[in-house]
Formats: sequence, C-alpha cells, structure tokens
Amino acid sequence: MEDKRSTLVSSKVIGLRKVLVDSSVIISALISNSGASYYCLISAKDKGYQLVISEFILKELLDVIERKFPNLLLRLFEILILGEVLVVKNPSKKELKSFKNLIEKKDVPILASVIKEKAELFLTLDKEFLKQEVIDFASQHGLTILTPKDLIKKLNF
Amino acid sequence: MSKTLEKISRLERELRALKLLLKPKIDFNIDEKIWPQVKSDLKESRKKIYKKFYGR
Repeated sequence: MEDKRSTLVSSKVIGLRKVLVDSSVIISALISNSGASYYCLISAKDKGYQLVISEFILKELLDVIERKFPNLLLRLFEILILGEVLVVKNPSKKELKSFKNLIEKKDVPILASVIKEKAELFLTLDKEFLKQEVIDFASQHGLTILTPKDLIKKLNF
Repeated sequence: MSKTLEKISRLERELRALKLLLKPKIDFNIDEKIWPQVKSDLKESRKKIYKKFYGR
C-alpha cells in the first residue's frame, strides 16, 4: 500500500517542474497576501510547478515564526497545504563542500538542496543568492535564481 | 465510481478556467518592503539551524 502511494506521489512530481522556495519568500507570503510571493505560492501548481522546500527550510521557518510571528503559525501550515509544498531531505555535509567558497556557510544548505533536487527555479528575496557569481554558478547547473516578482514579470508566470 | 471521477475531473477543469479568469492585482513592492524587516531574524535562525543539522 505504501509503495503504491509513493509511486503515485513520484509520478505526480515527475510531470511538474520543480521550484525550490526560500524561507524569505514564504515569510513574505505569510505577512502579506497581496505580494508576488503569495501569488507564486498559491498559483504554482496550476502553472505546472511543484513547490519544494527542504527540512532545513521548514525548521528555519518554524524557528522564525515561533520566535517572531507566533500568530502566523497556523497560516504557515495553510500556505504549505494550499501550495502543496513538498518537503525534501537535507543535503549531507559532504554535499555542501563544493559550494563553500561561493556563499556564506549558513546559506550553503539552501543552495546545495536546490542543486541536489535538480530544481529548475529557485525563488528567493535574499540578495546573497542573487549575486552574479551565484546566478552564473546556478545556470551551469540548469538552474535559474530569481525573485517572485521577476518570475511573474520575466517568465510570464 | 467512474461517474464520480468524471464529475471531479469536470469540476477541476471548471475551477482551472475560473482561476484563469481571475486576475489578481499584485503589489510588486510588498516583498521588497518585508524582506529588510525579517532578514536579520531569518539569518539568525539559519545560523542556529545550520549548527543543529551540520555542527560547526
């Protein structure tokens, strides 16, 4: 029974283009439902995209929300369910090594997850990931890093 | 059973069509206003979570 279920989930994901979403985008969507972040999260599935976050991102979201925005905790789960967000395993410590000189150590697990998951897009508001050298590195791996605003405007999302 | 599935598929198609008709007004400046306000909290959490998952 479990096998059948996981096959169903996998085949559903295969047909969709993967988008890894940074915590910055999810927090912005939690705070305002009129911004580009919120729009991207709730529309992704209809546009043929599978939203993905890592365990690291989920843990980080829970930590920020519990500390700073406890009234938004239920909203977080609502958004994760509405957006049918898939949670994937973290990259191993070994998998982080090749990214260490590119960005700050604490940001490495995020970028490593995007590459590991072979996501097509990485949505973020964090300027660290939007630096030219990071964008160039990502494009070598077939990955586009952009903000929700750029996704809507440039890619006609 | 197949009639129920047909009905669900039809409803899904209708919902998709209705969603296409809706053109939400997006405020493209909101994200840029929110990010500087949450950045330091998020980076603080990120540092903590990094240590938790990967050690030093």
